[in-house]
Amino acid sequence: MLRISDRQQGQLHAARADAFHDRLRAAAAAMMAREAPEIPAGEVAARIEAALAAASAHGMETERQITRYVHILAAFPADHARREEFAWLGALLEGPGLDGPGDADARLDQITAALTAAPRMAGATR
Amino acid sequence: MTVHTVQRGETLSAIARRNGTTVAELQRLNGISNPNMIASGQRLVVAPPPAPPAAPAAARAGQAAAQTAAPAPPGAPVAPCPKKPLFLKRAGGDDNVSALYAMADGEAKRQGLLGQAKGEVGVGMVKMEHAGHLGNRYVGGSHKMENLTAEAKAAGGIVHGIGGTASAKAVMVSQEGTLFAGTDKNNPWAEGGGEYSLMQAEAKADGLIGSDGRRAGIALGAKAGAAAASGDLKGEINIPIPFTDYTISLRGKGGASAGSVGAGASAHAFKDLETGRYHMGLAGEAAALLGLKADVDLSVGPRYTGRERSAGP
Repeated sequence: MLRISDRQQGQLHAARADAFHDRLRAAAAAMMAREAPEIPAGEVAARIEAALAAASAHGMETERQITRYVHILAAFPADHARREEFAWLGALLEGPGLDGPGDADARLDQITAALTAAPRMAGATR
Repeated sequence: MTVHTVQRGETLSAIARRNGTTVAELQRLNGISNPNMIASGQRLVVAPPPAPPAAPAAARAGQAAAQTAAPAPPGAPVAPCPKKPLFLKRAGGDDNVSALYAMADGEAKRQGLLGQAKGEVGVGMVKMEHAGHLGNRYVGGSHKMENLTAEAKAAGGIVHGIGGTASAKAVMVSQEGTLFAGTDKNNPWAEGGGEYSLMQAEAKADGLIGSDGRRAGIALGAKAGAAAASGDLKGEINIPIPFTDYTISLRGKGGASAGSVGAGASAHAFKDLETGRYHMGLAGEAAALLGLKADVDLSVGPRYTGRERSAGP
């Protein structure tokens, strides 16, 4: 039987998390280069880093939740939390009863539904 | 505002009427399959919200990409992303060894007024820090060396109180070595070692009343000094609290110096808001050609996730 120490398990876990974050950075940057090529790569990278840093505070815990969250926030300006027109996004992200992964999934589903509901919304902005 | 918070007793049809829309539209905007399943306190989008043009595609792309991402097993979410400095240049080395390096980092939050700044520079020589276990044994060691380095740090905040720390240090040569017992280098059962430095100058100030965004409690201290040579002994004991992820940690350091001048004293009792640990401690030193110093910190809280300690020696 293969046995590994707690330390080795911790190192494997950290290496896996690093690899996931690197893959996600690349995937979100590629998506933005495809969907919004007019936004400079440096700004996209800053949005992605800010989203990764804030994911935990919004209750995003699993790789699936963090993946969806980072893709969505990569499309929004870095200062979206301070902009009145995007207050709805903050209200949904910080809604009540947000402590579990299930709640995070429900909030991501709701934001996705609001964003993808046709016809396209007014007041679109970069 | 395009978001409505559901009140007790409200129905989707009543909310639709009040906002000049339809139940079907509310279901579509919020991804609601059963219109009878809304709860008090739930937030509903009642009109198409403004969003950047790329947002719908981004949300769909995230949904698709998430299908290939692993669902983290219960209790094992991915590790938070490490924070990277704003500026870091090094010639040679890796995360633990730097030759010719310069680093700057900063953080500012407008709401609550929290600011931090840090700068380090190493000229021509080396900064290195290693810690690891001896194979798979319950024994490990650490080694840290700095040659011709200088650093300055400042942090302060006004949130529900006021506080700040500032420090500056320059050293020609400093080396530190420790041995520890335990399986986790960040929380060893016991660790002991020593350090020496040649031609070192340091100044520090610390003040806290209430919460400054990084710590909550009280702290007061100041010290300034320089020494041609100094040596310290240090130790740390971490006691796991059964059935929890918490530890009790006692850390202490004592030392002597020669060719030195300086004085300082400090005391603290606060909660570190980043680590969640509660700290209390005392420190003092005095030097006039010869000097003595002592520093002790007792803390309780979640296990440390790194080697760095935010309070005490």
